[in-house]
Amino acid sequence: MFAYANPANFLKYAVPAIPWLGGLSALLGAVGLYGAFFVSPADYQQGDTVRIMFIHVPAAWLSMMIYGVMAMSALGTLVWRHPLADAAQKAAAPLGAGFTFICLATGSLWGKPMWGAWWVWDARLTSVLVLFLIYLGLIALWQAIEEPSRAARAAAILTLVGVVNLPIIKFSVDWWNTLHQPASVFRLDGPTIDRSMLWPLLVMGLAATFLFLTLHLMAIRNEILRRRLRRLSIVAAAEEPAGHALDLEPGAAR
Amino acid sequence: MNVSHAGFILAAYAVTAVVVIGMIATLALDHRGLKRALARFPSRRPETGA
Repeated sequence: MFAYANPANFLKYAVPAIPWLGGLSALLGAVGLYGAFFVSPADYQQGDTVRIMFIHVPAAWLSMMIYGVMAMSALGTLVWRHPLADAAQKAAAPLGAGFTFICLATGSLWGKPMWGAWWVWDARLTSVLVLFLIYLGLIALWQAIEEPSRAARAAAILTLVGVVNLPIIKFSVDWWNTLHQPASVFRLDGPTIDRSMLWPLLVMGLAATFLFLTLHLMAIRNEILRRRLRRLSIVAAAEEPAGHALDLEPGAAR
Repeated sequence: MNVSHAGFILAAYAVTAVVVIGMIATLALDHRGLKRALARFPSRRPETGA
């Protein structure tokens, strides 16, 4: 498998999938939004604010799934020192931060009319905020360390340390008395949510997953090109006499 | 359809749209900038990342 997982093969085989994955995400998103607004009824307690759930919950799933992808990539970086694993990890962090921000913002917009507060220091909300801060910390770490291999190792270690937050997020609603409702989809005794609301939610979850895959492939492609640019810049700087090096946009090769 | 708390629902979907479009635009612009910067170097092998 590793023979195929190299940057050149990635550009050759994975990049052509980007428009297909993006198209699939858009199609599923359209079906999911139709179900969310025209098929799913208003909730008997929440009213129409339940429609926020169709973006909030997929964003919450993705915020954790992306961190899981980063943790697996971190293992690939530390154990096998695989260059694509490092690129995949670095490329996923801003996407994870983006989807976690969507989760927090939409949750807040749901909380104000339902709980009467934009924010409460509830175990679930706080642990997701910690996840958001970990994403921002990882992005800052990559920016702060100039040597890419050192940055990759440091980020991989921090990512693996941060994995402890994932079960805390998942089980926070069981371990503590929280204002946030417990799990209603992925439960051992089956979903407690009505089928008319469940299928649009699952379709929106799939759409969000394919959206992440699309964006992740785009981001990995950029990361590979950035590394190629950095390598070429170093070679050019070594070959050219002082003052003749190619002009690059500031930070382009970082 | 008489929608309760329409402003909150609209704001939630608007925030999501802005973040998603922002992520797509950032990646597309970054790709364009990288391709432009790479084009300044003599060609060594064909690019497949277009």
